[in-house]
This record gives sequence, C-alpha cells and structure tokens, in this order.
Amino acid sequence: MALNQLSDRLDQISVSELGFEFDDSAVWTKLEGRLNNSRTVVYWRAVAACMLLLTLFLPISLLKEIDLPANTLSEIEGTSAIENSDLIQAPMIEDDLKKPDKPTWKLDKKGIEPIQLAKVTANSPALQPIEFEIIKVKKPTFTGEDISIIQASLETPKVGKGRKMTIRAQWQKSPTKSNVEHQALKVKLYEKNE
Amino acid sequence: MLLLNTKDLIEKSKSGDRKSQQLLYQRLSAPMMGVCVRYMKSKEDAEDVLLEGFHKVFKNLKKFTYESDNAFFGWVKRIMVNEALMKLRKNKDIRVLAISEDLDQEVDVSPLSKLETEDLLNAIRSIPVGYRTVFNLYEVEGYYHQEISDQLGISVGTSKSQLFKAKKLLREMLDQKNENYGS
Repeated sequence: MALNQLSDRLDQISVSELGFEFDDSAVWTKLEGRLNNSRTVVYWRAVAACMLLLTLFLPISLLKEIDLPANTLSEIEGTSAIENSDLIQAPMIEDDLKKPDKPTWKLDKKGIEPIQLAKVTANSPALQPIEFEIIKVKKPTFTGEDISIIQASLETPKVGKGRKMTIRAQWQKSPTKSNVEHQALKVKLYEKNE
Repeated sequence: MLLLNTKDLIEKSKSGDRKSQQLLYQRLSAPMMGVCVRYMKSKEDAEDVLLEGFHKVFKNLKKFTYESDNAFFGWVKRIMVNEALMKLRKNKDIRVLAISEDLDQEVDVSPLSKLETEDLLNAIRSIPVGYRTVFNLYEVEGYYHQEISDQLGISVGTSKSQLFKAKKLLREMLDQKNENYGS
C-alpha cells in the first residue's frame, strides 16, 4: 500500500518542512531546566525522607531515654515503679475522679442506684498477673461419730472371736435424701480369706 | 567536535551527561516535532508534548537497551505518540463523530503519497481531530484497530468509521486541489 511510505517520509521530516518556525533551542532550554529541576527534586526528596525518618524515630528514642531512670530507681530502691507512680499521681487522679455535678443517670429515674465507679489508679497493678491457689480441702474420712458407728458394728454378735475381719466403710448418698450433703456411712464387714 | 554515534550518546545520556542529552535531543527534535504536530492542532500544544515526551525519554532512558538506531527512534516516537494521546484525552479534544455511511466503500488515498511532505502534513492536520488521530495511528504508526480502540477508549467499529471518514475527507481535499491546479 502506498500509505506505508507515509510513515517513513513523515519520520524524516526536517524543521523547514514543518510549515512553521520551530525554535528547538527554546524547547531544549525548558527541557534542561526541567531535567535540572528533577535532579533537585530527587535530592530534596531524599532530604525529606531523611527528615521524616528522623521525626519518626527521634521521639521514640527520646521516650526510651525518659523511661530508663524510672526503672533504674525502682530497681535500686527495691520498690515497684507502680507504687512510686501511684504516690506521685495520686492527687491528680483524685481530681480527675471528682465530678463537677452529680449527673442524672437514666437509672436514677428508674430508682436504681448508679453503679459506683471503683477508683482506678494510673498504672494499675491489675495488669500484673494474679495467682490463684486452689486449695483442696480434704474432708476427713471419718469423723468421731463415724467411728462410733463402726465400733457399734464391730460389737455385733455376728463377729466371733479369733476371726479376722476386714472393715470397709464408705460414704454413700442417702437413699432418702436427694441432697448430696446428706450422706450415709455404710459399713460392711467381710471375713478375710487366708 | 567528535561525531558520536547514537549508541554512545545514549550511554552517556544514561549517566546524566547533559551535553550528550542535548546532542541526542538535537538529532531527534525535528522528526519528533513532526510527530507531535500530526496530532496536536496548535504549535504550542505540539511543543508541550515534545517537551513532556523528551523529559520522559531522559527519565526512562536507563530502562532502554540499545539494539539499533531504528529501535531507539521507534521507542522515542512511541513515547511522543502516547504523550500526544494523553494530552488529547486530557483536553477532551477527541470527539468521535457519528457516521452513517457505508463503511465497505473503499476510499483510495494513494495520491497522498505523491504530495510533498509539507503538504502531506498540512493535509493531515486539516482534518478534524477525531479522524486525524485514528488516521495517524492506523495509517502512519501502523496500529491495529483493536489497539486504537484500547488507546482512545472507543469501539473497533468507531475506529474503522473514523478512519473511513478521514480518508474520505483527505480524498476530497486532494480532488479539490487537483481541480484547482487543472483550472
């Protein structure tokens, strides 16, 4: 197709064939300015990035420095930092907890007492783990009363002299009472086989 | 001054050598201005596109791997075309006109190749921007209708119809010119 040559011809166009006056040096001057500017922009972007990093990390490092003496003091004095801070901050906290006027709660209208807020101090030790010790209170196997029942059982005439017997006693649920608190001591005697 | 080849100029320009960049620009500025004026109506807009285009060329030159002068020329030209299309889209210059003519009708525009380069450029620039853009992309740059449709955000059918209309207008202009010469 003849039009295929169009591209080649147009690509080889000279300044004089453009049909108007084209000052390529003026465009170059602008272009050079932009290229220099973009170089400066790159430089300033790098500076800005450094500044940003500094502003981000400097406060963190300063905070770390401020925190350090408090920890050291508590270590030396052997007291917890929490206690010290409680003492220092106590008046301020009380002021904070003071309310200017008693607010009218919705619950008041219904005759329900508002929930009282517990005083929570700053750096509350509630953050520390609370250890629970589960103490298993062992119920004594037999009380004095139980023993008297066992003795009474042994005194029955069924048990003859010279015979070795095994006594087995255990708590059982009362057959009459559903409440587990009411248990009966069932005593059984067995002849021991030799 | 020692005449450097394009490859050397590219390599030096990559490292930010301003003189090499200037020489490279001087070699390409006229043909690239030719590309820009094909798409842009005003000289000022064409210069803006040329400036933006060369700025992108030098910014992205490090990514370019030299293979041949033609490949480099094609790479720069593609940047210019894309820049021109961006500007046309930004200015909302591309207005696609509805066409209700028979697209199967073939329009012979081969006489265009007989025109002087300056007249050829003027003829292309004289047709409406929508037709001109599609004509440039299809007939001059060698894009497919699908690529034109993607670039301009129009349908393939619209691209074909715009090309048809562009050719028809150019043909009418050529006939008019011939009549004037004949009379």
